[in-house]
Amino acid sequence: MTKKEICLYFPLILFFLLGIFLSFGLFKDLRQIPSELIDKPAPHFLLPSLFDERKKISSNRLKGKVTFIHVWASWCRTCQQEKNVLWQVKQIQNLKMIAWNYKDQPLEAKQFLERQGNPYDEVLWDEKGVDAIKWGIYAVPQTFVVDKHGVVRYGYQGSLNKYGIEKEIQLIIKRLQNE
Amino acid sequence: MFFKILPELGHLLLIFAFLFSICQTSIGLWAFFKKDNILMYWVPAWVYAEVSFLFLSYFFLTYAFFINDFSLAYVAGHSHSLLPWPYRISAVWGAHEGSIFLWIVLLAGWMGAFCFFSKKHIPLKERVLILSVLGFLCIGFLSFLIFTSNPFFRLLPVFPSEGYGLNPLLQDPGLAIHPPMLYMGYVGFAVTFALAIAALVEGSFDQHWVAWMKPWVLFAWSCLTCGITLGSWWAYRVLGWGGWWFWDPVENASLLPWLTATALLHSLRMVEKRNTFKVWTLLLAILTFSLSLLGTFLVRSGVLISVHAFANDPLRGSFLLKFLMSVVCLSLLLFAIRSSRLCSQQFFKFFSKETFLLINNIIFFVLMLSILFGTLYPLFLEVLNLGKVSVGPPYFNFIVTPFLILLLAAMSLGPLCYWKSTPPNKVLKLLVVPAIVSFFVMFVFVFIFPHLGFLKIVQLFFSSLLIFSTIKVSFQKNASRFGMSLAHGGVGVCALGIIFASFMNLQAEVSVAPGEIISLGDYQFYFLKVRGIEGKNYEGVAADFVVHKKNKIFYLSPERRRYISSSMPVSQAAITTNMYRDLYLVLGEPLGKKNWAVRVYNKAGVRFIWLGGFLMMLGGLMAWRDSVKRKGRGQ
Repeated sequence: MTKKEICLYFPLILFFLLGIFLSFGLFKDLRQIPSELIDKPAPHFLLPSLFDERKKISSNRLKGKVTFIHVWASWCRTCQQEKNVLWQVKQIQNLKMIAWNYKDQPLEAKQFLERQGNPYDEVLWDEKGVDAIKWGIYAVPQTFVVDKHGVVRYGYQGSLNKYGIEKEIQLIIKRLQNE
Repeated sequence: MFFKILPELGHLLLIFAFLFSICQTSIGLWAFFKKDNILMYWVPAWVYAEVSFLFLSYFFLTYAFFINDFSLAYVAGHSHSLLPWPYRISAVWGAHEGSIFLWIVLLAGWMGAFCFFSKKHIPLKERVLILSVLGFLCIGFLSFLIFTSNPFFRLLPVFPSEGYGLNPLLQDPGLAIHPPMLYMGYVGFAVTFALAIAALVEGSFDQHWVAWMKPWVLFAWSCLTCGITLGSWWAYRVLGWGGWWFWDPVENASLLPWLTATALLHSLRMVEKRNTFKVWTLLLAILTFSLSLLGTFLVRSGVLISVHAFANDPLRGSFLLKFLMSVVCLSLLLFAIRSSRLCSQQFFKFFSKETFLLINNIIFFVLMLSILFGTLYPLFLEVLNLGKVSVGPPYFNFIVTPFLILLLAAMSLGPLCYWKSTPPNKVLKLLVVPAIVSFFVMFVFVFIFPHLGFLKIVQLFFSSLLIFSTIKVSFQKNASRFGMSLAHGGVGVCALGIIFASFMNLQAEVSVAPGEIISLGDYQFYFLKVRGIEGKNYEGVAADFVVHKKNKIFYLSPERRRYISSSMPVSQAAITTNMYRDLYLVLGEPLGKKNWAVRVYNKAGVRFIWLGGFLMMLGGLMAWRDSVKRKGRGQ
């Protein structure tokens, strides 16, 4: 082959490399929460309960049990597909489940929970999203797992309705419970 | 009750269309390689059957949207019974499944049109080969639709009585027509691509092939230009940020094929007139469609995060990626093996049309590469674990500006030159008058705006030079090149608009209560009152402003809407326009008891950007008509 003929293979090679990159990009989880939060004490929050505005729930309550925190909103369409995974998580014994309702109308949020069922022990109502900033929440759905000592151990952004995520979260919770 | 089962019928038709596309491709390829003439005659019949089934199937889906059949999961997820009917029809392509379906229907449309219009010009053998390539693309996309994103799934036996509603941002006339136009362009390059593949298989690419290819490139290019322009206009009106281009990955994805298609248009001229640049032209034809596919992949897989919130499901993405890679790699492999026999050499002097066409090609290709790089760079870093970054407007503006100036300069000179060689003094003589006029324009602007940066002055000069030299060319040459002049003039007008929008731009972001006044430049905005409004499927507030300048008075009422079925508030900017400026008023969030956040912009010349885009599209369409006529005359 002459030099010129070899040159004609360049576009093929370049595109092939691009394809390899794209496939890595596709399967690599780009939505893991930035590592700043992980292994740090959970940032503070003090938020009212969705069902009773006078009752305030603070981040101090996170200690003692492994806690699963799920951030959602009724306007979020992806959140509507997560029902099955959340009920799976509910099956785990000795786990506290907290819902963090983000920038939502209370009535719509309650209707959402009536439709989907309420697997949570507590539902926080975060109207303005101020405390959410410290947690790095700017989009929903988002999920955190906090261990017995109140340290954030796991964070995930995006729908839980995705192959593999449910197993991963169950494993992490079991591991933290045995620590 | 008959109408209720139409979606099932549509589903069935879709599956049949898929089977037909398999028949079309396999029979076509078999007949082509076995040189079986009788079988070849059957291929167009499969094509027409497939196309009509697909159109019917799409029509049934649209009908399900029209009658609010919420037992279909896709309809329930993206429509609402209170949605006005034009938006119910545009809601079909408002989400993933439907927009892939639209893609396929348009591909089928292009395929049918090609099959019909090529009957007279292209010999059966080549035609069958081209249709088989198109059929292969149909197989890929139809299996993607049927197996991973089927819009015909039912929610039975229990289905919602009301839909979730269409994203409020999509409820706008600009968006109702922007995706179909954009897709028309994207998909249209499939025909060009199939022609290029056929030329490679046949091992020849001469004037005949150019004459076959040119009208399809021109028409697809015009559609894509129109789609991009509409998209920009939509973003300006609806997103309420007052910008017209955001270098968002999805916008870039539509720009990439446009850049290579523009290069392709120009290099086709070279093959047509001088019988050279053949290999390069074929590569561009393949790349243009590959970039369309890449764009579809980037948008649909959610591999890049952007303001266009689309469903992201890695399984869908991996299917698309496999298909994309197999199509592109196979065609580039074919290119690598077969194109060496098409190499040719021609000589030309520096001052010649060839040089400027070459410069055009280089500029567009480099622009494409740098924008592609900028778009994928964050992804590269993430894959290599080097951290999260985002590449924004600073990078793109930095890269594009010098090339834009070069391009404007080359475009002012190029059309004045002849083929092979031109005496330089002749070209320069032709440029004297346009140059003097542009200097004058430039000085007027420098006089009015003394703080103008150097680069902007240069851009201003060259864009007006381009406009005036194009006017001169269009008077000199015969009318058949008028389309080209119009498109080139459009580039000049667009560039002028971009520069105007970058410096003649006043803005203010204030908190006001009813009864107060905002002043911006010569304008005063009296905030009268806030009133509640109610539309068919939304409610919200409108703020009434009286705008006052010297003795002119007019009213503006920006709105803030909250659509039923979605609690996301959407601001509807109020815009008034004349030739020179846009007044742009956006109502933001309420602040405190009486005050509101209000943004006011006075943007001059921003309309020129879309006027330029429109002229380019018009020029493309005129050139298209011209090339169809020529082909008809057998030239």
